[in-house]
Amino acid sequence: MQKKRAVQNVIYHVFVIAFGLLMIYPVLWMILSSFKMKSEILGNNAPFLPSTWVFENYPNGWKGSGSLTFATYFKNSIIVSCLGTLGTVISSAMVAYALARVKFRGRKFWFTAMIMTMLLPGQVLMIPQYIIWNRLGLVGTFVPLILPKYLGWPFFIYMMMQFIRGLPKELDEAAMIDGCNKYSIFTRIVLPLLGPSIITTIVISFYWIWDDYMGPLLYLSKPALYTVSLAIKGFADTQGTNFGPMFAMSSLSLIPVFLLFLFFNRYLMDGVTAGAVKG
Amino acid sequence: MRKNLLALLLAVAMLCAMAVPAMAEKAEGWNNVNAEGYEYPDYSGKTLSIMWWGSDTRAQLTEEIIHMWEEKTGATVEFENYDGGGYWTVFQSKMAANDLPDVFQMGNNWLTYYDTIEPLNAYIDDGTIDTTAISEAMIATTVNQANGDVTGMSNGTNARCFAYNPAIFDEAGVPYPTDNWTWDDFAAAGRAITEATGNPAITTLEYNSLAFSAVTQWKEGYNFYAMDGSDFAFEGDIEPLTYIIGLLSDLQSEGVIADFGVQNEIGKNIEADWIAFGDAAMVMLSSNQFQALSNVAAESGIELALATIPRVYADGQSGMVVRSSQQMSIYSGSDNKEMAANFINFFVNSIECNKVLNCERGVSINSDVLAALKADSEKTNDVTAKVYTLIDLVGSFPDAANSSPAEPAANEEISDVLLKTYFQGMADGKFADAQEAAEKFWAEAQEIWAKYENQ
Amino acid sequence: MQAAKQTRKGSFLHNDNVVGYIFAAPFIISFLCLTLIPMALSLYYSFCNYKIGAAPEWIGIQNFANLLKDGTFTNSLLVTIQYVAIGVPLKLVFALFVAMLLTRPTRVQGLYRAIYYIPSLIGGSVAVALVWKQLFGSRGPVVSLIKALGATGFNFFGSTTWAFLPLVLCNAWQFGSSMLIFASGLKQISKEYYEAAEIDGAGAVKRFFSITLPILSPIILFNLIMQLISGFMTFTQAQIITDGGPNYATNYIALNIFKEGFSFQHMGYACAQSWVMLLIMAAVTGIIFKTSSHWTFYEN
Repeated sequence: MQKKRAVQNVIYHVFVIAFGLLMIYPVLWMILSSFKMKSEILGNNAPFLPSTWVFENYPNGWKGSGSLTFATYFKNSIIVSCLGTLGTVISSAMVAYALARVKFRGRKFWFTAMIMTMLLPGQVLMIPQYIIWNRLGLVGTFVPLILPKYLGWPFFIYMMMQFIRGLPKELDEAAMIDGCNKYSIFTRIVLPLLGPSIITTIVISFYWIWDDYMGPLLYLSKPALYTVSLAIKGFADTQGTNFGPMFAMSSLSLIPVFLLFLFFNRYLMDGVTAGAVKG
Repeated sequence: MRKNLLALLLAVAMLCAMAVPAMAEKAEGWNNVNAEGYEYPDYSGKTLSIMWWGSDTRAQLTEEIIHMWEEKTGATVEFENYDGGGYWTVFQSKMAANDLPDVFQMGNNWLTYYDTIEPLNAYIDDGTIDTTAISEAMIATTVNQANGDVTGMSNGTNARCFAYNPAIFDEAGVPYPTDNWTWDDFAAAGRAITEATGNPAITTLEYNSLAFSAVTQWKEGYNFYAMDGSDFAFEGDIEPLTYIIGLLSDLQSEGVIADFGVQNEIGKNIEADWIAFGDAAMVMLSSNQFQALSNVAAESGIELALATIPRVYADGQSGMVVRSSQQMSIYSGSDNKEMAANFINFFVNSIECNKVLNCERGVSINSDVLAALKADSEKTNDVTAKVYTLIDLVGSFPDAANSSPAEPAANEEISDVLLKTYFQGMADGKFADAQEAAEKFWAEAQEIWAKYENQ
Repeated sequence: MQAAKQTRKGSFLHNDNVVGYIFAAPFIISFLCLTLIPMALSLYYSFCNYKIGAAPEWIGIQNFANLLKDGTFTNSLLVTIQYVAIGVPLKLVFALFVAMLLTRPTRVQGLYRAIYYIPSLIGGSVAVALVWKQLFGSRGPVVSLIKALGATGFNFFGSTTWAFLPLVLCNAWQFGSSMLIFASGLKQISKEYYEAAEIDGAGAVKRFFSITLPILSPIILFNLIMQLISGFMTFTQAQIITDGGPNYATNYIALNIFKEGFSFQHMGYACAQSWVMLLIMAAVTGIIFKTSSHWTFYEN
């Protein structure tokens, strides 16, 4: 029995590691490319490791273009992503609670409306939305990127709804008897129990805002406000692309989102045994 | 209708301008920024907005000259720059919101955005934009042939051409391309090289523009699009299309031209082309991409050269054209048009400014600027010298001014269909022969054209 | 209980309708201010000849009539359906599999999950496009392997039959967010269920089908719906890796809409395509919602 478990363990780890290496190969490729010269990034028989390590790609990329460095772009990305994530979590949890647990008139209608908003491609909504923000005089600020996140993000609303629906209803009823009202049920019962899905929302929405290109492209309008995702695209052109610096900055741009994931992932694992095969 | 009205208004405005004596008194070349003792206008407290696309290298150079101009005029310049794909999305959003910047970079697709563009004729006529060192032919690269409107000032010119690796030609014992080599020479060279190396001799091609060139080359007076972009101009004679579709498809099926898989892998990254690594001998490109391609090739010790586009008849038309690679235009809704014109004047004409820009966007249209750059060995290396030579050569072809500078609005869709449905369809065996593909393409092109007529 | 209910009934603020609208207010505001007008406009434009920056001209159902004759559009619908039908199940099964795999409590679990999550952090960047083109390129390792198995002259990006595969794999490879959502769903399953099942002598397979799947079903429904939607909307990868080619084999509907609206200046036509797509997606999600009551289990 003991021996069988040990063998199983070895097989498990070997499989997970081997498969994991396959998974991160493209990521490693990108990071290694950030130390290569152009011909080794693009060549047909390019070596996996750089033949000469070109560390200059990092300072060259960091200095960006003109008077702004990536310090500005990282600062902007962090502001937009942090404020946006905060808004996403608060507003999406609220709306999810209403749609999943409060029996109000029009609930079905608003739920359908929410699903519908996700079914039209952003490409055809883009221009009218731009005109609205333009009329409000808010193009050229962070507001069009941040404010909507405080007004609920359908993806996360629906996700949290599904988690709330998984919570036993008896909890609400018991709390009612203890003198809770619909508001305190949200803050005292639902929110604490939503823990894992809130963590998930933080990790995913932070990354999606961080990685967003269309929003910053349309609404920032001033290089001093550009985010990392937008600035990285600026390395590319049909008349020549600075691949080395581009990959250097792409690699750096992974760090904040990765750290955030590492930090929050702990809360998604603690005491996780569900589904685990014991023995 | 609206355009006619605009032209009329413009004509009236020009008449008025001529009637004002103060204007007439200004000497020719009064706004020549290179003149000794030139005084820049004072724009203290005023703001000009500018937008362009391009790489970070371009952004750096452009920002440098913007600061230069700010210092000289006291103006504040607000600028935005984006990558080439994102730029048009931003442009169309701002266009929809009537909120474009005073000055913006424009491509050959200016006919599509015509209403946003202020004609520069008045500023050229009164000398605000100084054209004493710019030839008529260079100004014509951005002129709407239908009404004479100058839609912008070119930031630099380029020409579609071929880059080749002479070492591989030597190895295969094939003579180098001549200035008037033909498609037969091209096919023979390609076949010999592929036989010698086992690799496709030719990788990326810009199929649609080759097809359009073939039409021009076919017969004097032929062009795919009319000069003013108002119609087709080859009487529906599909022979040249059949010829070029057949030739290129044959070469591809023989493996002389790389298949579409390889071409798609390279995609828009000219620097990833096999020619940069010694695996292919010829590639089609725009001359302002040559520097970037040569830089990558140089890392592997490869030196490239430039050649013209092959012709149908050695003594026939070249089908080539010196075109504006991109231009600076003034927004028709701008409140700062005069200041914008002065900025463009500086951008296009100032030697000091262009020593910074150094033809990064394309070969300068100002002969004084170009002469100064060529004379400066720090600014002109072997690679740029080859580009200058090619542009001079193309400019000397009698028919080089023969093709339309305007891409009609329908061009984007017609080109897309030509490549994806017809050239790629040929490779996929969707047509019996080139004749059938050409016929069907011509029918569809007319249908597409009609859609834009009704718009 | 009865008494408690009655005291609250009187209070306006505790009326279910009021509570509901207060909590749902953020979404309702954004819907009315930011989404409704653009959606209504796009519907209006779909009946117009409209080019961005110009005045729309009403042409009735002309756009929709043209759609029926437009082979490129029909083709883009078909290839999108192919992409969704193959890509979505693949990604979901993969995400659930990895999520389950990595819930095994080991000391390096965090590290493992990080490794599997990182690919999803490089998104639709230029790096992904380049590495994918090299991996599946005509001289890349995958094609070399296939050629070693005997196929000749094969390559992905030149083949109308196979060009979709690298895109589907790229999408499946970025399974991180689905995996995280599954993982947090798994975490929510009470341990007691498994302990009880184990006492009853249920094996791993049985536990999976009788406990994990049913309890996870709301999350599975969620991931299914969202992946379907994002599958139908797939854009970036097709744009940067294949640009819709070769011969329209990967010209997915969102890409086609973008091209029509922005490159070809037929915004009205693009809107008509969007609304047809909306109807199709609404039908598909509607069917899934309808049937979901038979296979999803909510606590209430």
